[in-house]
Amino acid sequence: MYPHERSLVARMKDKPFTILGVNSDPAEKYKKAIKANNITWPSFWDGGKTGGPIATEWAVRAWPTIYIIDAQGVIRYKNTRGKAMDEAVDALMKEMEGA
Amino acid sequence: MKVKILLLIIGLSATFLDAQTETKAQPEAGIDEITADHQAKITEFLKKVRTLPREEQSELYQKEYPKPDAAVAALKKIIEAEPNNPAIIDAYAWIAKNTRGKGLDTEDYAALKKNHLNNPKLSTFLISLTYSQKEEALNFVQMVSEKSTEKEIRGNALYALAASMKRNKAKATEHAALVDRILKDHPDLTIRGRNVAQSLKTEKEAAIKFAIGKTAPEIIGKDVDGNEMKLSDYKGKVVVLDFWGDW
Repeated sequence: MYPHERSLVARMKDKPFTILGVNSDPAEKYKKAIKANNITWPSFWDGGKTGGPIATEWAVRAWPTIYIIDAQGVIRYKNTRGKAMDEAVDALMKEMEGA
Repeated sequence: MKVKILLLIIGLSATFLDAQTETKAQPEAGIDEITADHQAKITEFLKKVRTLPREEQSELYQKEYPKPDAAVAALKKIIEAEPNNPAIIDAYAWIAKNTRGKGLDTEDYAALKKNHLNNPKLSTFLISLTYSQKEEALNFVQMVSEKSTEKEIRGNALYALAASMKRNKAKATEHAALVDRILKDHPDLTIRGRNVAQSLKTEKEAAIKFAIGKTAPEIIGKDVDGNEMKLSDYKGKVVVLDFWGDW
């Protein structure tokens, strides 16, 4: 997960793009993970457990769960991972540039 | 004197016989012994694993994780001895839970149908059976959802079927129909103290609210240092919203 996310973030460095996490770890564990894996993107901290308020609101029951949201705030993809995630992000970028 | 001794002997042999019938009438004891024995092997294995460096652990798991085969064979002997005894359902439950991905054998499904279709404990391993995704297992659970006389068991069977389809996009319509049926016929279905019908309802509503094409609702939260942040802060950007944990 992390290496792929890091390379995606690096590739999109100057583009209108972000990974936005919702993290369910206890605070200390989360801080450690950020340091150990060089996580540069922001995350909501969801109270230190999997049943946190944001995950509950979004009815997330499996981790990781991924939503890809376009520049207008519309949900466009769900649980798209790996190469498919790159392609989805590229497609949305192209859409933005075309608009 | 002679009479007394004779009586004593009769008395003793009666007790002896009693003890024998008692063990015979309790397959639970045999099942407990077999499963505890296997659990001990697992505990022993885990002890050994913990002494190894992390990268060698997964290899050892594949190579040496105690196989349930011997325990399964022993449990099947207990089942064979008294196929009608309600207590032996624990043996089936253990086999189902410890041979995940394999399911049960054809004759097991037939025997469960014949002898234990209304045994409340049947509910406890229907989901484990569906892990195999084998048609035979799914057909069995389907049959239970129709034929058991116990409403609770039928509800559990429907829930197990729904769970087995949840991640299968090709079965999305079938899954939705099952969920609707559970909500209609078993609105208070509770599994291990959790109201699963309520969870299904919440999930169903969420699937509509967070469907592809819907505007993502605002998220207002905090980062780990307590600074407020919002999803709308990133409007104008493509956002990969990632619910994650480091585990």
